[in-house]
Amino acid sequence: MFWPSFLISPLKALAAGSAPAPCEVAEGACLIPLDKLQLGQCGLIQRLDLIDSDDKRLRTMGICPGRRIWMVRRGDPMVLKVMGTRIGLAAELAQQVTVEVCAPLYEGFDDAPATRVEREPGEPGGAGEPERPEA
Amino acid sequence: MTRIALDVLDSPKPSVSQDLTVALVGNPNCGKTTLFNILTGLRAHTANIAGTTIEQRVGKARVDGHDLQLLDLPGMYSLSDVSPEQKIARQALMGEVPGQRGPQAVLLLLDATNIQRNLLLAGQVLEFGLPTVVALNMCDLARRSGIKINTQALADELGCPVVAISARTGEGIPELCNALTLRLSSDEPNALPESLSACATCGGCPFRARFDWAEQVDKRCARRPVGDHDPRTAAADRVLTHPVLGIASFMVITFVLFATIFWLADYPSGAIEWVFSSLGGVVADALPPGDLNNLLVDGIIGGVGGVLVFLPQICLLFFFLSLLEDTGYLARAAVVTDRLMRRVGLPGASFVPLLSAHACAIPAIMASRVIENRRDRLVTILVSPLLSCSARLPVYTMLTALLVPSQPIKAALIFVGAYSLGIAAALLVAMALNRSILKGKAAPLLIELPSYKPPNLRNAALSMLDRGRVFLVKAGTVILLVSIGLWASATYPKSAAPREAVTMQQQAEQLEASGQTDDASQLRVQAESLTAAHGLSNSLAGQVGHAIEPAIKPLGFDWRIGVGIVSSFAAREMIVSTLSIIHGVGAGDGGDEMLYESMRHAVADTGTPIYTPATCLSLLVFFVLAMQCLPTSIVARRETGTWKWPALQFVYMTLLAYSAAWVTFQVASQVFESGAVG
Repeated sequence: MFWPSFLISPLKALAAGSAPAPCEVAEGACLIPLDKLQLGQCGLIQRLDLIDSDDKRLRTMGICPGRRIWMVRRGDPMVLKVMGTRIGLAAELAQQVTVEVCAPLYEGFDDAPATRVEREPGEPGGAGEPERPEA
Repeated sequence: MTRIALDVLDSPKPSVSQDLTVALVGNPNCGKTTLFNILTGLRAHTANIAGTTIEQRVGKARVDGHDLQLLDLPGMYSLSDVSPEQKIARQALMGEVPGQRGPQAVLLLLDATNIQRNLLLAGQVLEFGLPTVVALNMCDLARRSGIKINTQALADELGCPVVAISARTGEGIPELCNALTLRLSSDEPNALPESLSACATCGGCPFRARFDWAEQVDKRCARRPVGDHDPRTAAADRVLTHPVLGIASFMVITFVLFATIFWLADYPSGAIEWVFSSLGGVVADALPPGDLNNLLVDGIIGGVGGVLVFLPQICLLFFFLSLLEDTGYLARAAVVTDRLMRRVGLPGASFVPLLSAHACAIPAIMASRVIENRRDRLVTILVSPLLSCSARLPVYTMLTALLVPSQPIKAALIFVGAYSLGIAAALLVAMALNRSILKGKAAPLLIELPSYKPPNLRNAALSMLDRGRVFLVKAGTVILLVSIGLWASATYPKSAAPREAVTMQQQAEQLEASGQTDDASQLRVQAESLTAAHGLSNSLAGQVGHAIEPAIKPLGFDWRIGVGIVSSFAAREMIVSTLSIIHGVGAGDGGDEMLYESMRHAVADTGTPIYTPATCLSLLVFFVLAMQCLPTSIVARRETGTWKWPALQFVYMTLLAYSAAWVTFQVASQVFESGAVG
């Protein structure tokens, strides 16, 4: 069954992406495995259930609780964006990562919330005096 | 902001002394190699870190009139021990590698287009307390995509000088050198930022606290436009990581890559062949005939030429691989091939090394370094020599000419069959290894897809020089020694000319005396060929051939092929030249066609033909699968760190080749005897 599944799986990957994933509701938040994120959807990483070596690999790349992550391309391997970097990730790892779906869909999957740009560096609760960024 | 003096490390650097070592630390893909090449130029060399197979580059950098030792550590995302490479890099940074002094200062490279993720490593490096200077690289790319970073604010946050540079364009390099000198001339410890020192002590997930810190620092120092700041990368990835289009683009790109390499390498390889054969001719004519002449011409000049002829292909392969890596495409190739490769238990990252193995297994094994996981790397190294390399081409050509003379379509099918057999064997062996001695499955894919960048010709050229040097030093010397050894074993012990040859020479003399010089010289040539064949048969190599004949008889091989197999350990194509000597076809006269003709008519002592179709098929299968290449073993030893793996590789490949050739010969003899195939 080597070739048939090789031919079919990309088609499956293309077909996926319409049905919204059912989510486990905990304290009002919608928790789903990372691989179930829709295209362009953002997730707030909650939990990693991986063996130690894989856990560290993911965390050093930014897939770590508290980070926001965007789905750029679904499938196996999928392409995600976290901390401004694109990452290719195998589905078997993504299945072990739980994320809380974030409602807003930012343009171009950038992880910088739109509001941040309006702030000047140094202004909100920053150390030292507010400084103008270099031109 | 308070300044915390660290008393853990003493820093004895009142002035910039001559033997200071500075470690260059940074994430993968942040332009570390480019900066290293700019600072050191050609005054760098690649060396293994003591006791490991992990490489580091060391170079002398001239910074403001002072010579510094610059240490290029492997790229890493954090200092936590994830891969052995990162573990070693951390030990090198801390001065824990035996026999190597730790660095006195750190040059930390951050990617300005991706500062948040880079700050994780920055935080850990700063905690070490070594004097640190931060170079904010790719500021030209950041500027172009509208990212603004306040370097002064960042310097305050990190407690060390920050210089915006672009290693690609050379922007900011003088300022960086200034900052480095200034930092090295003061023995003040780093001012560890308070926000960061809180991180180090907090419990729970250490990464989470650090990423929170990185996010805060990023928020205070950087501004970026709304939306994707790199639309071109996003657009290119829509095609290149696409499940269907991505595979198609991958095939096109690799086809163009290899076609270019083979096409370009043809010219220098042809030139090298020409130079060495002319040189051999000149030396052969200049010196009186004898052993010294033979040693120089066949042993040394032939051996050196045999090594150098592969050099253009290897250099070009590394040149183009480095270009592709610089653009960021190799990471995408790993993503699209991962799905296919994982079925046989290999990671996507092993695809490019295995592809390179079709040129030569040696660069393939050297390129397998890109595979992070040791198990995956070992499987890749073990199966690489099964793929048909270019040294097998002359052998395939010879056997195809014997099997199906002047039938191009059938010949092409045999070539396709040989290549497919190699690929199938590599995949099956990889699967078998996964289920036996290298249990486990390929490490699931996790790879950064860096932004696409224009490639750097300087990096590619330096990588090519570096790899070419490694090939010449490590493999070349072995090939040369083996060639000389084989020459000696094919020459000694010497035997007297056979009786027929002596009679022929006497006849020639008589003919010459009667004025028939043309016939005389023809007879002389025949006599010399006969003497050469007789000499080889009685030499050490010939005796080995005779000795192993019982073992290879079931495969349909006689002692002549045995000698060819023995000689092919230096390089596989050697079997062709060995067989031409045995069959009395001197090198250079008449060429390959004459060899094929004489092989077709060659008969054993019993009068039966030696090269029957069954024997040729069996020999073809044997050469597809056998590990007939000593230089590959040497390089595998270098890359795996022990003789265990190359030994295993040799044993399993020889067993595989032997059994497959045996089955082929038995089946083929039955088929051809029964007359099913004419």
